[in-house]
Amino acid sequence: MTGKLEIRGLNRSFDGVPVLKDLSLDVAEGEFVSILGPSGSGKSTTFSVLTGALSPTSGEVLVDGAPLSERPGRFAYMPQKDALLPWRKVLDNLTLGLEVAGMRRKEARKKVEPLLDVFGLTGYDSVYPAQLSGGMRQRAALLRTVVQDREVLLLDEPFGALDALTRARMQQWIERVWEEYRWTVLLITHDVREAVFLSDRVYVFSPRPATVVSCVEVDLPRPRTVAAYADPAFTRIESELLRTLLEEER
Amino acid sequence: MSAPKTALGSRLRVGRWLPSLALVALLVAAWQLYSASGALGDDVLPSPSRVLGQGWEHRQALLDNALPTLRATLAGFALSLTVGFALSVLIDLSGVLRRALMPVLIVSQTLPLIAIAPLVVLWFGFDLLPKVLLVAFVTFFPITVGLVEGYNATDKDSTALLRSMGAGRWRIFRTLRVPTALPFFFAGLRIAITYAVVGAIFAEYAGATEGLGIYMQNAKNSFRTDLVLAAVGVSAVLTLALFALTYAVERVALPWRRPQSRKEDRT
Repeated sequence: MTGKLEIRGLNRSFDGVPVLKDLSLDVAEGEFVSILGPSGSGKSTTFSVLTGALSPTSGEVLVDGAPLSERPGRFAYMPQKDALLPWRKVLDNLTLGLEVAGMRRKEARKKVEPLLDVFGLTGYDSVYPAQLSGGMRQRAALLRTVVQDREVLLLDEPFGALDALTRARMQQWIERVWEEYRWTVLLITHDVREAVFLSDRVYVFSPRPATVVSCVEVDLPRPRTVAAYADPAFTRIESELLRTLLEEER
Repeated sequence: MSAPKTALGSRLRVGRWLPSLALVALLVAAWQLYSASGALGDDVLPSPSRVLGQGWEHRQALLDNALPTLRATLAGFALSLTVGFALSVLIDLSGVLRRALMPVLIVSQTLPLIAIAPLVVLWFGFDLLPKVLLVAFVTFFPITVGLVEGYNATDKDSTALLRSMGAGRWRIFRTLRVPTALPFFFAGLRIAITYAVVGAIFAEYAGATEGLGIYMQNAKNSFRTDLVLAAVGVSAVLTLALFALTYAVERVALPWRRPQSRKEDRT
């Protein structure tokens, strides 16, 4: 496996206050990697650097071995809130990224339409987002993200706003879909179970300033189903991660 | 998906208007009774029935003068929308422009119209132009402020999302900031429209050859208080009609704001 994304010694401060401190992590092609950390630890700041919204104070970000500045537009970003535009019908929200990239609306629709079924949105393409349930909104936001055909998906707490049951359903669903498409994913979450269930590897961030305090490989067999929760290995990794997080808090 | 129009729905609508209709009826009745008592002469306070009757009799003259006023109002409002939007774009574009423009715009709104109107007529004559300018002058401000507030209400996550997609400033402005601002714009538009007809009448009052303003002035000078009030009624109807029109336009322009049912999840 090649290193799709490498973050090396990343530092970023705001007005002299460090938010990211000597941060390093790797994501290989086709890997599902999670960042787990307390709220406000700088997880989202990391994403802002990756999407180019912020520039790092020092350190480097490499995509396929070359600096990020030479490889713009490699990441598809899904923000914490679904950020579906309420005035665009669902289909027009899904094609947004393609349209911004310069694709004609008609072509963009052709590209999105075959995916509607996979994302459970068939029949809802011509309604406004306000008419969708929470789970459907998140699936729509994810579809809008993946259809851009970027090399790495950056998912910022995509299920954070959902109720526990819907969230569990979404995790099952995304695992199923990921098995099929094998996107390279970097996921931010503060849900330990979610991180273990979905990831190949989990990076634990410290509270501010964020740095990697632990990196845990999740070598559970795939595809994972509800049964995975009962796997002793699952429980062991989960409690190990939780302990690391709680120790860091002190 | 839109709510079906049921008998209950229309009954509720009537119910909503009932209190204000009742209040107006009560006031008109009191006015009618008071003027019928003859305490004040017809040239001082004519009865509502006389205002209506005389207004109907002079309907042709009222209509002939309402049309120029409406024309000035609409032309002025069109100018106001253009200028109001252009200013909002400039203010949104840069902090320097915002700091330069906003104080000037606010001060412009403190100028007394009663002093400005005759000057504008003096400068631009008795034709349509000074009226258009005055209507725009009294109505652009709520439109600009509404739009600027609206741009600033743009969701940060959505902005970050569009940036990550590679959107530039102009793309973000038209795809995100303008649609976000539209509900704010309509709020400003409704405030502005209530000033528009009054602004046109004011301009005509300061000098015109036709229009409700000059009609009122002439009627007053010949002690036809009833016709002054009839013209006032016509101007109120004009304003109400334009006000209602903003709701109709908003309904068409912002279909996503209409109440809609939510779908159940079927994950």
